[in-house]
Amino acid sequence: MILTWEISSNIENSLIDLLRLRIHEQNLQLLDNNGAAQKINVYAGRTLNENWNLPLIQVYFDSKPDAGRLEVGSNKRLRSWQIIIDIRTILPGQESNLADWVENVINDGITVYDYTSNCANISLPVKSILCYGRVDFITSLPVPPFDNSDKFDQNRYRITAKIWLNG
Amino acid sequence: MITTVVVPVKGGKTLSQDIDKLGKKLSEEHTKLLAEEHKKELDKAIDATRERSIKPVGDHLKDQIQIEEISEHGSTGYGVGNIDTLNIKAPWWAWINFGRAGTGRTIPPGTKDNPRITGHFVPNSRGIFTKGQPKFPIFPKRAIKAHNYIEKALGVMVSKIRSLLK
Repeated sequence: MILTWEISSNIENSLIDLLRLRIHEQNLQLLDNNGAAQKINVYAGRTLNENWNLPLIQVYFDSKPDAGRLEVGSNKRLRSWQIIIDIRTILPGQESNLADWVENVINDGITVYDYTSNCANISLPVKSILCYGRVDFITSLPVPPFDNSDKFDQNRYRITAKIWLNG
Repeated sequence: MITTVVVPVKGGKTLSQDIDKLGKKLSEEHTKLLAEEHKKELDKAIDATRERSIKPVGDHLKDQIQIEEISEHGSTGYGVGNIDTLNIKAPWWAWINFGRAGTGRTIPPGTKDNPRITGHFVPNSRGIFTKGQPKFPIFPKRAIKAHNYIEKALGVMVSKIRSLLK
């Protein structure tokens, strides 16, 4: 049996899908140094890829901080999935504004989908609604500026959120 | 009278002054308890994300994250992990957490950057690159990933607070 996406990957991708959809719906853009509007990109993965384009929202699953039993004698657990959202922008100040926007988008929770591979189109997996995820914000603050940091770290903001699944 | 409550007043203090004093002491004890638990969770998160064995000599990140008493306007609180101390004794704290060094680097410097950077791994497997004999050059290629030990510890603490303060 080939193990396909489990819940951690499903949550991560559902969040990315939601952000991409809202960016597309609102045609959300940010200005660059020349005053030209730039599309906001959403990427998955803990490791920064030098080929990524700014401004960007980097999303990845980090840890499972909660795993207590739902009730005594039950094997159901009250679990949360902790997600890191790193926001990196071209101009200073944009990172905080984009962070506000992200928080607004996910504040009311997210629909979590179950993804299965699609042989006909590998980049478009089949998805069905799995459950609803409640969001708790754990941290929300700019990452301290680093000396001589490259373009990816000059204006960076980090949101840490726990996703709790209902049902 | 069905019930009478008699409150002894000691040392000329009023009841509200006594309650204030007790409340303050309790808050301070709670703050200390949370600080101690937070330190434990930070240690756990650092150990859980460790990719190489602990280095045999020198300062360790875990040892530099300590609980400090903070007194201000007659109140006592506690802080965990003094940034000024960390910046001096374990300046790599931010690199490990955010995946970016204070100097802006993501890939550790090697012999190409500085010919004096030579040494060997202690221990051989999953060890730390250590100065001294035998001296081999090193050419790091992989960036250090964000370990997010601060966020991991906070994530656990947010859920633990209620049970700790019961």
